[in-house]
Amino acid sequence: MQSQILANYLRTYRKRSGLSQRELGLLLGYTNRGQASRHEQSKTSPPLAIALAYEVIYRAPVSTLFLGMHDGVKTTIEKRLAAMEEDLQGRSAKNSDAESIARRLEWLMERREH
Amino acid sequence: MIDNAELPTAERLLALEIRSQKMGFVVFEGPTRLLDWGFRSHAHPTRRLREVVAKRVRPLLFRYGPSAVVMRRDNHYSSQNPARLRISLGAIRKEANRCAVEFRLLRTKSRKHFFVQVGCDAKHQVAQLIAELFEEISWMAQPKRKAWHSESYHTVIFDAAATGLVSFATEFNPDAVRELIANTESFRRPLDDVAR
Repeated sequence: MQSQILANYLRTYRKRSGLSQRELGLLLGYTNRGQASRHEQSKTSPPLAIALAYEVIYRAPVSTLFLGMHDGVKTTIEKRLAAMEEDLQGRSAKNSDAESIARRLEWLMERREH
Repeated sequence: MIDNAELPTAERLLALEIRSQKMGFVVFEGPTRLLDWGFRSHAHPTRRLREVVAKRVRPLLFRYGPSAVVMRRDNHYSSQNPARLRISLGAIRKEANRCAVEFRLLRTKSRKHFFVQVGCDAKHQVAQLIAELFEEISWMAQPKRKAWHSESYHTVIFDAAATGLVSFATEFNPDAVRELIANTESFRRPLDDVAR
């Protein structure tokens, strides 16, 4: 039996720090604890600046703090990239268009290898 | 901190410790990581107890989606009201079933046996061991109390953590837990030092 990855680990990091939701809210620039609570419960997603603020506060990358969300985004994007690669491979073009397609395919291959 | 590499395969477990007026909880992700911990009060009249306990446990089940809820079968202390404990246990079992989460009861005797094997006979020694294993809750660890002192309200958290740890040791990953405990300082020290 395996458990699903949580959408985020904000609560775990906050509890480790000993901060209260109110204190965290103040650090993030909110006037109350409501937003921090909503982020922890994944009821709302924080804006980019706040996500980066979490990274600064906990000294952990955003992708770790929002592991489940990161996983979901990664899966979706990988699928889209695979679809794009398939589409590019199926195209027939000449001259500069062909070079452009070749460059994109090369980049996709390099990206996959890293 | 959280080890990403282990996350997708980690077993999540909600360990509970009930008293007649409150319950302690610890959410494990694998035997080495705590996701959440704390306690919830259900100091309400007995006729409303079932409903209140369910209300306290439900958010934990929804938020963490554990694969199992584990608690002690027989934690009847002289100061605890057995009827209230029974009602609470029933309410938790029902709520776990409703959320399709496995519900497990651990015998107090087997839990005690496990800790005696690792050199922790007394409750405060178990709490100290737990505090060493999980530094995030170490600040809540209490020294050995006198008979006339009342129990610290953090004790339920350590009791829940102990139950969860034994559950991992007996059912999921015994070697990992034993290795974990073998590396703690109190396990390496003579027992007299631990008690001091």
